Amino acid sequence: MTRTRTLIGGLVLAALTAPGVATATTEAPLESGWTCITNAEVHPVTGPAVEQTVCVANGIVAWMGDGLPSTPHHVVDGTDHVLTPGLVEVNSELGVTEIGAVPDTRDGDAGVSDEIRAAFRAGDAFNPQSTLIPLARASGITSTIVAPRGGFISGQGLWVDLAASRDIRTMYVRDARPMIFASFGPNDHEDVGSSRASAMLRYRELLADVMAFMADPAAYDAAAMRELSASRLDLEAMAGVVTGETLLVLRVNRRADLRAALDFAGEEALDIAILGGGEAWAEAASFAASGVPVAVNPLLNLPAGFSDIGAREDTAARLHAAGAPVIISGGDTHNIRNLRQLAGNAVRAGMPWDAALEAITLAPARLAGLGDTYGAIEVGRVANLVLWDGDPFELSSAATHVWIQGEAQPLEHRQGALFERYRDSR
Amino acid sequence: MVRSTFRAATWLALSSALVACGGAQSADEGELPAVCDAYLGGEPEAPFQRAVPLPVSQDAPVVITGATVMTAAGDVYEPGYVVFEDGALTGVGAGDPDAIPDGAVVYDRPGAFVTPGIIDTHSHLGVYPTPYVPAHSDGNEATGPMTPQVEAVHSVWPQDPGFQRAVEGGITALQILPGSANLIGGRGFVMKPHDGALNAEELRLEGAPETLKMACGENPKRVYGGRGQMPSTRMGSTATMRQAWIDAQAYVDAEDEYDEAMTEWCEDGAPEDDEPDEPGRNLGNETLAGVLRGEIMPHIHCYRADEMLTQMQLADQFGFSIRSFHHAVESYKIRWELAEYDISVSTWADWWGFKIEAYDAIVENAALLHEAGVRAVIHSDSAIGIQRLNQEAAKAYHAGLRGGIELDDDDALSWITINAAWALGIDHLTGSLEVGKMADVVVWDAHPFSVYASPELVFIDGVLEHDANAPTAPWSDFEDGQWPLLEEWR
Repeated sequence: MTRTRTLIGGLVLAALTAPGVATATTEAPLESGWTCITNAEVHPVTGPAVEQTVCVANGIVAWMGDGLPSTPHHVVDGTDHVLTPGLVEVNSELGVTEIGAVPDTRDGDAGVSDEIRAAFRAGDAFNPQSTLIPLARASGITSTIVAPRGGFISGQGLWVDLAASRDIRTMYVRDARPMIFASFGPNDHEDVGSSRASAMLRYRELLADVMAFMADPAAYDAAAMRELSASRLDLEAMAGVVTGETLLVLRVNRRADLRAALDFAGEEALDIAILGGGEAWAEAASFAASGVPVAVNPLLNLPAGFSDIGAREDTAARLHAAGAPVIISGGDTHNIRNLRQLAGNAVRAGMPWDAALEAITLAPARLAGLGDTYGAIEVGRVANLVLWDGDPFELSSAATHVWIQGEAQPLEHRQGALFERYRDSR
Repeated sequence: MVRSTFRAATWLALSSALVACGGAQSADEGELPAVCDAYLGGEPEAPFQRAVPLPVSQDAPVVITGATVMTAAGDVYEPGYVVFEDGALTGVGAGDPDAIPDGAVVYDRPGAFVTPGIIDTHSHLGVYPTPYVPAHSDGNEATGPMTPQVEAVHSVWPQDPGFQRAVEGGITALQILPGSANLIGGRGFVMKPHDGALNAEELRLEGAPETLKMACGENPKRVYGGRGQMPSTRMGSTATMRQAWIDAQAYVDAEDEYDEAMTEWCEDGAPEDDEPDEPGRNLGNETLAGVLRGEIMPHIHCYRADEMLTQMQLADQFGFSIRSFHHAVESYKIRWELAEYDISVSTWADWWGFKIEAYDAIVENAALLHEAGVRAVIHSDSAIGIQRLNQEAAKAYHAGLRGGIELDDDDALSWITINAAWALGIDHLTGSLEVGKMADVVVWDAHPFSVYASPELVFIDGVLEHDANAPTAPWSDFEDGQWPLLEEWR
């Protein structure tokens, strides 16, 4: 192993809540078909790294402890390997795009003139046969939120487990909370108006209309109500935002806009998360105080626009240091596999290693309301696990085993097939 | 053509061009005009002047000791030393140097790694600078598919904040290219990213050959086909290119004929009423003629194997050499042919799928090319990627190793140093740690193929342009006075 930062005992651990069950030995009431991963350096995320056996059965982590359980099992030897929860990208178009410049393969954007698409679910078009999925899986990505693009209110995010399957129904995780992705200014959507203030105006109008609708849907259906600014399905979808059941994920970068988003969420009692957060480090204390999570890409350190004048590569590190919840996200689809490289770069910029791992595992799970069942290695949690032949953030490492919902996954993919096809060509 | 050089106009040269091309006027009675010197065995007229290079000079000799020295020339010294003076490497070897030059600054860095400066063959810094506002979009002269007359240097905004970020990532030389909207996009610009230039021409890498950006595939046909113009198909692209080479060959022939006639005329004593007519000057054909004469190196944006082979057929037909295919995600399919033609490949580690011609990319591309004897280069094509080419090379390297391809650290290092230098025709000047070469040196705080490694010191021409221990004011005027600085947060 070439890694230097994950050796047990050499860790600088983040302040973590509850030590969890990492050291407990608990047997779940399961009979057979167990797989036990032995001798690996286990990073449970909810607690310090341990060298323990982790057993998987019926889709969950069934047993953790020293030695081996009495239940019949087969062993995967994890000597010199690192076991982590599966990695999660919170913002991708996986399964809804095959080739960027081929419109026929793109389903992530409602593509209609209506700017309010709260009811749109890109995930409805999810294609389990996409060649991107096996590649993502082989790179240790076990879940992603399929996030819609375009529009002012882009639509709903969908948490998908990337198990090899012919059926989206086994991949779509219904326990995830509803999430609506949206912009918060004119930058990524011009049609709302040329002013950021117009976007705020649009939000206020929309929320007022949603509340009018919620107060008397029957009147709406009877057409006995003033005209509202969104369609019925969109109003229904937005009702969840008003009640706080649905998370509103806002794409915001500029410091003043981040401040405005926090204030807006406070005034309207909305539950929000931030995607982008280019200048979020400057409001780190506010994010820590409000608990609003920020999903950042640690590579974006250029003043790409006037909303990113203060973009820095240590934004994730600074947010974490201030106690704010941080998610690392590249927003990439084809190269969703580079999520771990982003985490490594966050560490390079000063983020503690464990915090960076949390930012691509448990923190995304919490965003989606799955913080108790996903994103960590504990008995009873969903067994989305990756065994790495080294430090998962290092460029020299690779995933050797991937389990999703407890099932060992095939690691073949189209790029590997092309490599084999041409390996011995002459 | 003898009297003028293919090195076309810079902003200074443009103003002096008419004078320089003046021909044979005002010869004294009985004497041959000055223009005849070039035709009768003397020195050709001086090339057009360019802007004055930025004055950069290394203050004191520098000695680096204690670190692992990775030379990209086949040797790794653990530990080794590097010495440079007046901008040139004067000592590289194992252990400690025999002598420390007087007044030298010594950096003793046990545990650190020293590499040649990183070189990027494909950047749009300056021509698509940050902030990305429409008024900064200067990379594609997309008003016609053939613009060999333009030069990237004339679009480069030296205040692009991306230059400093690139240097902080270890970049010491780079090629700025026009975009790929056009079949022939214009001349590239090979430069050193020093701090302090007010005009890009000041940063030109002295001694670098001229380059030309070309493109095949989806982009030109999308841009022009979308307007109902040619090319709208790949066959349209090839036909347009062939016609350009045919016209350029005619231009070369006319110049050669003129040179012959001038020689004859000068030998005849330059009779006043009989001076041969000078062929008209055409900037675009001047560039293409430079390619046909082997003086300008073509860099061709091309993804698919079949299209690269078509370009190689054109090169054969018109007698020029392709220096590097760029992006070239399918080059692994034709690696043996590329090796035979000695064409380098500038590619990414793992970009793929953003269009159908990028659908067959594999991470083992560079490794397979290397194994076949092709000079593989990892390029960025990105203001973000250029900051971490070491990481990109590492991904391609480890993919190759896992695929069973025999490689070592020095091989992978060559993809972002000496091979890139070769692609740009500057491998005799930089790209490896060898005595006599430019003092372009990076000191890393960890193995450069680790995700955790950052450049601690970056020297360009012996000048310390980045010191991670001593952050400086931003190079770019644009970043000065912005809120992060005013609030002392940067």
